[in-house]
Amino acid sequence: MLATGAAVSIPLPLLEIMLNSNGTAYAQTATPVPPLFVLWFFGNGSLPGIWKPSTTGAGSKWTLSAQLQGLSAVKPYLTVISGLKNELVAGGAEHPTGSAGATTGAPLNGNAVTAPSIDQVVAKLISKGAAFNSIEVGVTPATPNGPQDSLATVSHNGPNAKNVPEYSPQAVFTRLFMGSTGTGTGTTTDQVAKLASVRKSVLDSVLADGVALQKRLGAADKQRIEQHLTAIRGVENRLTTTPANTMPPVMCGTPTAPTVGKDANSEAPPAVNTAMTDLSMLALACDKTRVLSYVFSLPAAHVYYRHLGSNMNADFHDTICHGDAGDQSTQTRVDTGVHYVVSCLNEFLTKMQATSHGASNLLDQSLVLVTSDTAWGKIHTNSEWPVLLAGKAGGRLQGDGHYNFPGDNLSKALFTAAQIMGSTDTKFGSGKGAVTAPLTGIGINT
Amino acid sequence: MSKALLQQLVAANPAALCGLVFVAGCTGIVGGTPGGSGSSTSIVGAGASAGASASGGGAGSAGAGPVNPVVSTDPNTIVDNPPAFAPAPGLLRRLTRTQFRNAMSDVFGYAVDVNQIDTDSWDQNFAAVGAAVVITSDKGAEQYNTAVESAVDAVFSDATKRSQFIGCTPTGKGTDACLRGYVQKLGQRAWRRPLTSAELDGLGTLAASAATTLNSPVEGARWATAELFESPNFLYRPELGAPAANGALRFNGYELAGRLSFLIWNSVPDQTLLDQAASGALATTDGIRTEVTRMLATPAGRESVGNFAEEYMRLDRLATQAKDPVQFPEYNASLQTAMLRDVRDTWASIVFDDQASVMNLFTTTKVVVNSDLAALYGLPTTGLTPTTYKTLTLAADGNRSGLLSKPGLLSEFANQQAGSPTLRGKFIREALTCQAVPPPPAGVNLAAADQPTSVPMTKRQRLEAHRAAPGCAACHALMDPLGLPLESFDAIGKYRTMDNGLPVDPTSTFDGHAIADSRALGAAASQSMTVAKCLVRKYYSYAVGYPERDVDGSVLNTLEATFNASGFKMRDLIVAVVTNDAFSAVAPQP
Repeated sequence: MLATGAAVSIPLPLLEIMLNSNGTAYAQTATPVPPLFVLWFFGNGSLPGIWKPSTTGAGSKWTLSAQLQGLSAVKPYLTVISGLKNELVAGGAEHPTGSAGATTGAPLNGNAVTAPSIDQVVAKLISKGAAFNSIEVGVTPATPNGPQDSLATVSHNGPNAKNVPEYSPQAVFTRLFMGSTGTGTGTTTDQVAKLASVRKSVLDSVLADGVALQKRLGAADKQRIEQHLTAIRGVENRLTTTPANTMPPVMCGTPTAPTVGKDANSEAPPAVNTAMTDLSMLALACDKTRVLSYVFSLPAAHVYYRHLGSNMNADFHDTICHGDAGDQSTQTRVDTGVHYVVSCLNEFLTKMQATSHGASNLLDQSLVLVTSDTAWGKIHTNSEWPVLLAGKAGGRLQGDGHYNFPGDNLSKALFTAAQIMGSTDTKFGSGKGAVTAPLTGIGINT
Repeated sequence: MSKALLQQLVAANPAALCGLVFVAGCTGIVGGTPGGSGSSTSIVGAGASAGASASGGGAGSAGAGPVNPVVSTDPNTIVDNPPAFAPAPGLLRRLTRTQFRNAMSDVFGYAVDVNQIDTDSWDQNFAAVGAAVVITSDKGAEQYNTAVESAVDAVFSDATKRSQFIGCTPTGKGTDACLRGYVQKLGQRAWRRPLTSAELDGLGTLAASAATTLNSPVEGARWATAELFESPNFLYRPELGAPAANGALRFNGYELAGRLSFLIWNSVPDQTLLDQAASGALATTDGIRTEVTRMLATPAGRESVGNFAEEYMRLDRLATQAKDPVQFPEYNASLQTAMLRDVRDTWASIVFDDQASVMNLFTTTKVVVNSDLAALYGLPTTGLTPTTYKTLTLAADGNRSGLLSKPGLLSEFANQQAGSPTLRGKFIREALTCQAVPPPPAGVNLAAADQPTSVPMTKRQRLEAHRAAPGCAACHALMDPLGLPLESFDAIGKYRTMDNGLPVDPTSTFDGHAIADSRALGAAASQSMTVAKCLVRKYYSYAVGYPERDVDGSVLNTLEATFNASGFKMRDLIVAVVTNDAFSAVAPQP
């Protein structure tokens, strides 16, 4: 589509003029502006001995650890949670069960997760009215290729309902900004509107087919079709609420299509991280989506960071994490890899801070949950799980703190994130991941 | 390797010492060869073949001594007196990526990139089985719509193709008989059943409305066509059954037509098959046999084996695999495609061109190559391009023979830089012998073999060090011996004689018998009754769309006997599967 030179249709950004004087609600409807949510995931864990800050508390009481040094520019926005234990990690399948535990708070059943992931829990709370229910992007498709769904993605609508990340920056751009294209797209506003109306009538008919089909099915398959129909309603909604070529291109309106291709060598190159970060900023700032999962690397990613130096040209999961000598503070090549991950996270967070949103910026207005599929990759430890909250969630989170919860259940972090984002549920997770209380004392404003 | 070095390695790496829990986890049922039909063949059982201490040449086997032949078998092992068959509940399978691709190609002549379609579920290791549980993502629904619009456009943007495709001239009116006839015929193929008159009315209204809005009767037909293929009635296969004459629930004629069509052609039915459904011919075993025989004889009939091979061999993995670009500059998309096609097409060629025992797969010298893959095999590339394929024959006395030495399999079970005897062996153990390998114990250092050492070692030597750890030996003995003969091939399946500067030692054991190399491994597999029986079980599950159950035991025993008696002809197996009552019987959905 890009090659055709078709005009790009862009919605308006969330400008101050659209908000009330405090920047907390839409001026016309007084609807509160919900904070945005990002699940920022990286595979293979950290070195817990040098990931965890040495002191706890807020402000000057804590300092960044060695592995978090790269985030010094955004320290006021960080809430580091340490000490948590992923009780759902199962021996022999540590990465897939660790991934499922860290994102769904629930065990695996065979190859399937058993609950929606935290990004989808949040999407149910805040995505109504956004163009996309959620967006999933990824930097590297490097994968161990295992059979479990929780190795293929970190975003799940529920069992057997993967939201697989898109790894091609151009494909993300096309999906976000070129509309639901296909063929026969007209060049005039009138033609485009007519085509949108025809597409809508086609989708209405598809929906009617689905409803009729559901009547013949048992409960489980009825629900499967329902999820398909929900997706179709989303497509239809985007057709009718963002008619192509009718919005004036202001601010969000001049995005440049990325030129970098997807990571073909499973090495998570910096250029792809930059492109995906930039696209994420556009998606969030222009209200394309309020929920984004950013898969820097998949669970147990067989990634090769050869661009970090000739000594890094080895399988990061197999050879470096599992094979290198050293303990959980001293595996040098693992540290090099984690530093790179953190530098890419820093790019993401500093760009959020630099991107206007409402009365402030994206980082002020968002909650970013950063986590992984294991604590220390070498032997798959499940305590001292890496958990980092970034952003102030529209003032709901104070930031600039490190809080230690030795041995507490990792699901509490997910429960806390859900509550910050507005959940009124009284429990989260299941099995060994079931919790009934969130983390307290981490600087949440009530 | 010296014993001292071995001890040093293990001592330096206590995490590699697998705990007692591992031993417990690995002490499963002792696997035997399933009872029953072995009379007409010389193929031998190969069940519990874990006694793999062999390490010939100068490698030695210090510390990695003989291991008890304990095999944790698949819980669904066939037994001599299985419980009576009971039908499984009806399924709602979503079209797999390849089914969607094939349908778009068959109907519109349009090539879909399967990587732009919602991912399959690999529950039970078959997309055709995961299809019964997979749920479409938001992006996936968009991708279907985009692909369908593009496919429809491939016909409708060309006036000649379009007019042939529609077959009459639409008027754009709501009562247009041309449009109604067109939708009726195409819709029956897309939805694998006649459309109801209400459905036809709805599509007529949709077409008329689009024709009016866009001021073009042809555009009305275009968008009605898009609807047919964006509809859940196309994308999902409701197979729920109806009471037969005797009161038992059975798939109706159209449901059976769909089951046959997607199994044999991996695509939508043709008019003849739909006519057979309408006539009631598929209500009898003879009717099904006649129809499946016709279908297998068509070019698309090769999909019944080719697509099975693609799923069974997990060739989907190839598309996601990168290789070290410096070490393997020849590894590109064209080579990846050829690797997949070589495996797929060799399976189909053994079955359909040679009409031979499918067990010949393990010793065949047949290869299907483009220029990239021919170069990898060391064959002349004359007349070949990246998109031109030929079926060629490797030298009978060459370094490879059979499926297990094909680059597609070797490359997918390897990382970017080196092959993995463990992954290759695990695949052979689990997929080809239907025996489960327990997962490694918690806390084990999975890459103990990759510990840097002061002296160069082959992968084999490092694995032997790993297996020397007491808890690791039993399960690795299930995997490594089957993969070690394949150490003669690197991470993309090129033949090699040296590993890390040392000679490769490809000797191993299969079913307790010493084997010299990968050729001997293939020869042993081709003679294995365990492999043959496992193939029956896998094909059955692939065909019926659900994992094997205890109550399928009697059906499987019957199918095994038929397969054995046929001389392991896969066509006979396929006919036996679809003419078995288990393929037609169904229980209500819960």
